[in-house]
Formats: sequence, C-alpha cells, structure tokens
Amino acid sequence: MTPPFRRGDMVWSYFPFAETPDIPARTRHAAIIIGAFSATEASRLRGRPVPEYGVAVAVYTSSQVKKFGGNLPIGIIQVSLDRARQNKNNSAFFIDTRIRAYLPIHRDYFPDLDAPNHGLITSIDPGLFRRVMEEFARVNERAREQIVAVGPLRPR
Amino acid sequence: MADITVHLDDELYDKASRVARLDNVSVKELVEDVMRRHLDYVEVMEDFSKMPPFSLENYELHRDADESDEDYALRRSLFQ
Repeated sequence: MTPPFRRGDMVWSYFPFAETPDIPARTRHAAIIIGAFSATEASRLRGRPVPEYGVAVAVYTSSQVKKFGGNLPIGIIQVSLDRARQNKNNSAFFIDTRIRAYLPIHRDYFPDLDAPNHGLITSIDPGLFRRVMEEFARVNERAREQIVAVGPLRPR
Repeated sequence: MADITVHLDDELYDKASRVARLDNVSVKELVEDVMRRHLDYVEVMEDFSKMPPFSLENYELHRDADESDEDYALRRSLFQ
C-alpha cells in the first residue's frame, strides 16, 4: 500500500521521547517527513509482519527557538517567523535533524492517520526541505555521534 | 474501578514522593501513570517488535511523483 506521506510533509505525530524511544508520546508533536518507505519484497518473504502503510522517517521540530541561543549546533535549522508563516505556522520554530524517528505509519504514532489529510499541517517549501536534507547529510558526515534515533523501527 | 493496596518499601516511597511532588501529582496518580505507561509499552512492543528494523534492505524509499532521479538518489543516500 502506498504510504500517505510525502517528503517535506509536516504532520502531527506522537514523536517518542529519547528516554522511552519505543513509546508514542502522550501529546501530539509536529514532525517533518524525510521519507516514507514500504517493506521490500525480500523483507515480506521472510515472513515477519511488516507495517501495512510502511515506515516514516521524520525529524523533530520545536517552537522553543531560544533553546540554542545564537550558536546553532550542526543539524539545527532555525525557521524565522516570516518563513514559518509562509509555511502555515504561526510561530518561529527550529528543525533538529539530529533527532530522527523511525515510525510505523500507524495511528499509534500518527494520531490523525485516518483523517482525510492524515494529519498534514503543511508541506514545507522546497527550499526549506533542501536545507533539511543538507543538514541531515551534514550530521551523517560530521556528527554521527549526535544522532538520536527513536521509534520502534529505529536501526539496530 | 478496582481498589488495590500496594506496599512500597521506604526508599521507593521516598523517591516516588519526590517525583510526584515535582510533577504536582499524588503518589497514587504517579503509580497509576507508571502502570499505564508500562502497559502501553507492552502493547506497542507486542505489535511492533516483530517487525524488521529500518534499513534499506528491509524497506524501500517511496519515490514522490514529482521527484527527479537525481533528487531521489540523493534522498536515498541519506539512509545508507
């Protein structure tokens, strides 16, 4: 089945906390989808259950923009109020590409999955998504030790 | 609603009291919350623990209709 999310979608999720990485958070949280994946044929043939709608890899966002002060660590993108408004958000926010969730596309993790728009808040503009990809890649190359992977399907 | 009595040793009760005070809840509410979280954990893990973990061997990146070959390859490379 085709995953309902596209690259750059900002969606409501129960993004798990690092302390309990498998457990859906109790409150909803905006996450940005980097990619949606389907189980490979090889994976299906092994006979293990696979998520019906696939897996989403998403990164963390927060409106606590003062958290980092002026010195942004690698992997962080600050989104100004102007740009946030262009992206249908009412306040500035940051995107932390170091914090990555590997989530089954299931209502346990995406509370509005069964709604017509599947919990889509907005699709971020292509320029911003390109920056997200660049920072994601920079973290992979230069700060791999800072990656925080959560979600029950995180790489093991 | 079921009523049960739980016996906590003094050290555990002291710790629970401190955490409950910080969270502005009673020890009873804290115990209920911890139990609920654990049951959520068991339920969720039963469902998802049998699924293969993320890797490009187990999962294939879905390509968006408007995505070029180059963009798709670049995005896929993020997960290698």
